[in-house]
Amino acid sequence: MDTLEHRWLNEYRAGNAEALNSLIEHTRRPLYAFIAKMMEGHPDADEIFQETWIRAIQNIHRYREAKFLSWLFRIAHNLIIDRARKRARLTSFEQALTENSQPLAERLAEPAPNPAENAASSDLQAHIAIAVSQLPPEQREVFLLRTEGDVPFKEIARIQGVSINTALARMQYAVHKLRSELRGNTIATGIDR
Amino acid sequence: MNTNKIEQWILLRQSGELSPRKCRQLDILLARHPELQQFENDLAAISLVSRESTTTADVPQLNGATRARLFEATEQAPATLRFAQWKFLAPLAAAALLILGISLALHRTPTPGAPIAHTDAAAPAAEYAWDDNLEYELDNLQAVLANLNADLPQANRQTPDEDTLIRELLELEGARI
Repeated sequence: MDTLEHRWLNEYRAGNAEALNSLIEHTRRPLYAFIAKMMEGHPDADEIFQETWIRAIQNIHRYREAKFLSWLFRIAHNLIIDRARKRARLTSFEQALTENSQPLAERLAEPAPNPAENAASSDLQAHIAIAVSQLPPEQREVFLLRTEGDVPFKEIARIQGVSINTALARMQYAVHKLRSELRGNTIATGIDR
Repeated sequence: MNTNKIEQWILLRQSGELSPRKCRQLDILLARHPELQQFENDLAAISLVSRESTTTADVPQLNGATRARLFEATEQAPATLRFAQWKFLAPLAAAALLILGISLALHRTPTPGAPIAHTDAAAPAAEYAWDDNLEYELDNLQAVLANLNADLPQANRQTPDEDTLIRELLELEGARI
């Protein structure tokens, strides 16, 4: 376990509320980045970010993971899935009202409007961000858990409920797709990274 | 070994899940296959670029309502954790009870006329090793008491009350010193 996380958790468990602030600050960026990128900039991202923390603290006595951040990601993963199910039900309902609407599967596969997509920027980060948002959700999740949270594949497999080989294969597909994006951008901008 | 497997090793090395032996094998393979070395470099570059696309400044703070709920939970946390903390004390409490039980068993005085419990002859001897020792200690204690009784004046040998016995024992101790 991260030594700092461990220390803050122990202090928090001993009743020190300030330690909770440190823990929030330490995990804020990777957790929010994961949620926001999984939600493709959807306004619900902020709500899930807040809810993840509430669930984490309410269930802190159940915390058994090696890394606190992995545990937060697991909670966020469950909340994102719940929210996607609710949205899917709502979409089905809306679809039933409109005869010529797009099929549900296509609409779910399509990323939500992203400001970065609208800007015709040659910036490498924006290109990669767009490419990440276009990955299938399960590949995107593996990629984000690795890059944002440094979550090991063994833990990713547990979060997704798949074998470690499946988690690895998803990451491989994601990296191959992003590599082609990176190469295309490198050629276009002349940046060699 | 196929390319697919080597790429998986590269991914596992990046996550710190590849054994040192396989890491060494991977280095040898990468030196022979530049295209795989390129995969590793690209993986590192993509991860870095993606991570840097979200800065701390882009991340919202927890809102007031969430913070209030979190700190409300913090106040309740010690109560909810009380049992968890208790669990760590359980082995200590069990050990203390065991020691107390043993002490009581060692210091109990045999009741006159009480039947002597016999151990099951068919049971393995090892199980009764501790009891054998206890029996030995009790025998010693009884012998000491018998000797004391023999040393006491004839008139006091029969059913002395507790105060008398204590006084006589103290006298005996004092005499020996």
